[in-house]
Amino acid sequence: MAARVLVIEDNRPSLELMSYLLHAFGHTPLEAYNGLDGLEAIRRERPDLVICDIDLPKLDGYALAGRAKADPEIRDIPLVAVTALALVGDRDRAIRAGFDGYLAKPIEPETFVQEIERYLPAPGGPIGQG
Amino acid sequence: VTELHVRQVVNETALRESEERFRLLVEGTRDYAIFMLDTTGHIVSWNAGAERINGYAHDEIIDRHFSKFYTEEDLADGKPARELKIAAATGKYEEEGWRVRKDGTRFWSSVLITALRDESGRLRGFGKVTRDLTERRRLEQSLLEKNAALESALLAKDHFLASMSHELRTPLNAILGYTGTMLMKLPGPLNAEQEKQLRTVQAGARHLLSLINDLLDLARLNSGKVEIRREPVAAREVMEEVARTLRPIAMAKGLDLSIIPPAEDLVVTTDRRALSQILLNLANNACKFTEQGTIRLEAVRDGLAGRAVAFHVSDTGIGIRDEDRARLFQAFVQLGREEGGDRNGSGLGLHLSQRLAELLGGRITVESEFGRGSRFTLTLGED
Repeated sequence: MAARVLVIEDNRPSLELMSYLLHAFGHTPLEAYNGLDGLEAIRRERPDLVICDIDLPKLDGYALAGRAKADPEIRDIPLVAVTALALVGDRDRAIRAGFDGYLAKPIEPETFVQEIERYLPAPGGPIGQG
Repeated sequence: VTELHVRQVVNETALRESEERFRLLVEGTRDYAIFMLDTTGHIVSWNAGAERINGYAHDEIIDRHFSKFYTEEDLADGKPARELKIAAATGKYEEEGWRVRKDGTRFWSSVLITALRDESGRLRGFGKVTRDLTERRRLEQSLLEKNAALESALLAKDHFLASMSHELRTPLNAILGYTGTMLMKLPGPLNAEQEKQLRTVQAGARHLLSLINDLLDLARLNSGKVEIRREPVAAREVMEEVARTLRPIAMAKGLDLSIIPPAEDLVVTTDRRALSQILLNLANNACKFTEQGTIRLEAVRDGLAGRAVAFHVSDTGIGIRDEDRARLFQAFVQLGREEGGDRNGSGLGLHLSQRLAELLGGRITVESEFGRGSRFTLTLGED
């Protein structure tokens, strides 16, 4: 099922790569380049899934996750961290901040889309059960 | 001259000699200021140490009040009188604090004031012993400063490691990502030569990533940052995980990678992540250095009363020469190059694995026959 996936990422090559892969696998990528615009885009676009970097300008990924999960309007939209913060403990920190999932960079292009699809809500099922 | 008189003279002489020795002892002591105060705090005796430490000669200080030695703040606070009061009430007063020399400079001193009472218990004055600790305090201070500098250097190092990890991974994301999309032929078809060259780029980038990971692991191990969290871990689960991860690599080389399943209840209390990393390293090495045949993972109870668990990783690969065995676990040592083995390693894998095994309270041993194969054994939980 084609999904609308918002990618929040300030590193252009990484952003283009993820958008390209999403598009290649039949999804519709939406883009934001910093945390504040990203949060606004979640509220405005209500995407099916959000992929979010952590080291972001204006509002970092941890703060973005905190605000998104505190907002009843958008809290059920799955939020997946895709980050180069890949030391021991970084995954736990992301999950504690409110992310639903975590992938370390560099991503595996062969499996990336499949991995993030796991977080999509089941078709027809209740939102947030993905 | 009566005998009694003689005895008196002898006694008086002995007493005088004893007093003389005592006076010389006190007066000659230079490392401690030893002096006496009357009941109101006026100085009645003064030794060489007091002159050296406080700077006053005997004649200029006798009959003066001992509050001269205190700082202005302590004087305003009424400290001299309070100290005598405490000494009179409890027998003594002890502290470390600032005192003032004759020339106005301050020194850090250790002070002991003792109340002196006669046989009837009446207060006769105070004995005061002071030691100049300025040098010791200066050393302590500089040690504290050095310590703080070291701590901030360690923090800077941690910060550097975290940033380096982040900054090195970010460009690799684009390199591995776009090499991958092209090899997946998402932008379009590739000819054979293009595909071969892209595979070379991909292998190089993956090698770079594993180097970064190994170097960061080594840095973290060296700074004691690796946290070990022990929990019951089912041996079979971890082995299956490792086999699942490596099966694509083994299959690409036509190797048979299999598990000899241990008993379901074979559980070891250890750090899951570290155990999995060690087995992954060992099995990955086995794949690298084996051109044909089998890689086998096995776990068995071991040691006294079966309290330990031994994980075996066996291969039918190139094996290890006896003379190379000693260097096997050293950092940055890569063996098997002459035999045309896979060069894509940091030379850190076995070193890191052994270090992790030690952190888990275990060890890795190896048996090998050159040209026939190797068996690495990780033993955990031995008493």
